[in-house]
Amino acid sequence: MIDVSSRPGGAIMPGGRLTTRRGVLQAAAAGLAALALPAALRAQEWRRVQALRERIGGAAVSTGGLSIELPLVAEDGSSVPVSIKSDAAAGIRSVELFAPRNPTAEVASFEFGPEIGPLNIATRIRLSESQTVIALARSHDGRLIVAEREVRVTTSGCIAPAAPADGSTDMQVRVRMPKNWKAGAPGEVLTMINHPMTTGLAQDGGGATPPQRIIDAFEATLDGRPLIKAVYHRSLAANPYLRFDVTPRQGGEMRFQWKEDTGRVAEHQARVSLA
Amino acid sequence: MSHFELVLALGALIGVVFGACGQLTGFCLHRGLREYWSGGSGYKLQAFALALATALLGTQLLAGAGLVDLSRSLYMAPAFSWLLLPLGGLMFGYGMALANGCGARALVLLGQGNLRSFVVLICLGIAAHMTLTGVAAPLRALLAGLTPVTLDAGVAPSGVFRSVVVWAAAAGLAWFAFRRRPLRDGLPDLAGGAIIGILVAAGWLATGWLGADDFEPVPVASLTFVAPIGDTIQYAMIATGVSLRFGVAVVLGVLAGALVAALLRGEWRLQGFESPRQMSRYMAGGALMGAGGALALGCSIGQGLTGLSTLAYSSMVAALAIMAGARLAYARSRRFIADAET
Repeated sequence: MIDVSSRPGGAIMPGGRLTTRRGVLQAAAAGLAALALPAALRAQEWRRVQALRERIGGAAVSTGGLSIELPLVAEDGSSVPVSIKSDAAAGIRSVELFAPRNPTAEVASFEFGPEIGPLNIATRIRLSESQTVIALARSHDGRLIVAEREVRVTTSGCIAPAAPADGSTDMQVRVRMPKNWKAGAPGEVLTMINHPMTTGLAQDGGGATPPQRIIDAFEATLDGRPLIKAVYHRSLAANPYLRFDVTPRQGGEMRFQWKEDTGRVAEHQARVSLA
Repeated sequence: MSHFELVLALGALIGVVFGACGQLTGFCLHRGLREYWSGGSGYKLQAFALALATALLGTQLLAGAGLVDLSRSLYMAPAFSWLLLPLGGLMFGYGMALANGCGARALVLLGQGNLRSFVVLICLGIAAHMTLTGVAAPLRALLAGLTPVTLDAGVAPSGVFRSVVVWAAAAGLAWFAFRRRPLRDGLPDLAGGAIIGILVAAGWLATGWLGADDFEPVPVASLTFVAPIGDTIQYAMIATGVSLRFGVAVVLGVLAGALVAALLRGEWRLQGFESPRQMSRYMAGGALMGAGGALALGCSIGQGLTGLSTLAYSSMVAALAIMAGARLAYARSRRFIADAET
């Protein structure tokens, strides 16, 4: 959380002493004021992350219009829910998600078609330790927006052993979407594929370290028009889950495709008809 | 009400009934075993046997009807550590004897004002989390990786054979429970046992059926009291950052149920330790139960009733080890400790 004591003026007011009642009250008031600072001024963790600095270069970055939600405390680091929303007027073209203290900082990246908006997506990620999770978005008009959120992890996502070998249900997919779509109104689509997302880092129960085998790409289209193109890394949680809002312009066939890094593919399709 | 809230509400209700039952009848595996080994005249072990019989029948009927997918539970994993599972069971059983009752019993006793149990629960919960996710977790993971055993299947084969095993085991347990005469004296104990067995099945139904969802399923579980006691302590400290879970709802329900039952019956009484020696014995007992229960994936209830109700081989190993640990402590107490502090 916020370390008030390290903030200039946060602990003791000039001339005030913590030993007097008034001094304590003043210090407390200053502490509260520090807590009330706009989130934009406090949230600066992303500036320290190499991967983000490389992507941003010298470009201007704003922090409004994008929000990232995670639980304050993650009790199971192997599957932490994260959702990203935006009300930016221009719409969001892409989002990259980072967990800087994971073995691989990149978690996932998404590209969106114009029918995804207002942006509202959710997935589940792995976190190896407490850290600040960061989302970097590009709007359709080329602006860069950063949002970040600090998460305390009580159970490392790296302590769970690699999943056992039984892969009988691997690559089975599930999709849930509204039965009745309304023109101009967003509908919620939930997708999931059974997959262990083997990182190549964790030992299995038998002491061996199985090599990386993950779902590394996901794509959804509506009558050929791209909705979402996602690239996943090993920090995405097992059984990759993605929820997103779609505001379809026209009905049609919604197609979903998941790709494993071995080249295996799973597909699903469903009919969208606007009321 | 979302399916999460429904599961929590049912968990709390199950806990309340468990707590009241435990307060009314003194349901306790440890006391049952001691009575049995010392040739006493109680019905506590009979009550536990009947609880196991009803838990087994109820759970297998739910699974047979396709309502609950037990294969998604912790107990059915085909791989476990041949070292840590029995070792944890022995530690739990020994600790249970030192602390004069298991974690679930300590919750009931705390509900009726027994502050010794408060100390036991704190030690148990912290030791459990130290072993599961804390400083001892890397060592646990290392040892588990060095001593793996993987079965072809985690449970007895399905179909007719499973049904025969279930009915035979339930009949045998019921025979053991009802054999002791005069039966009338044991009715409250046996009724309490039967209800607690039904609660185990109800817990499976809550998490496995009400909590089922294609995208956000509640973990399939039922009554168990090692990790959930640690979770409850943690929840008390960081509730704004985490969401309530089934196990924590059960623990809070047990406390509430035992408290209400004790108040209504005029049995609420503050109790504390009589000597530092007694206190250290209870603390060691709590810590052994916490660490042991974490290694054995459950306690006398979690493996002894809930785990066995799935017919998992690993639960049979753990439950036997828990009884062996209690037996070890019993034999030692006969030799060394004048049996005064009960």
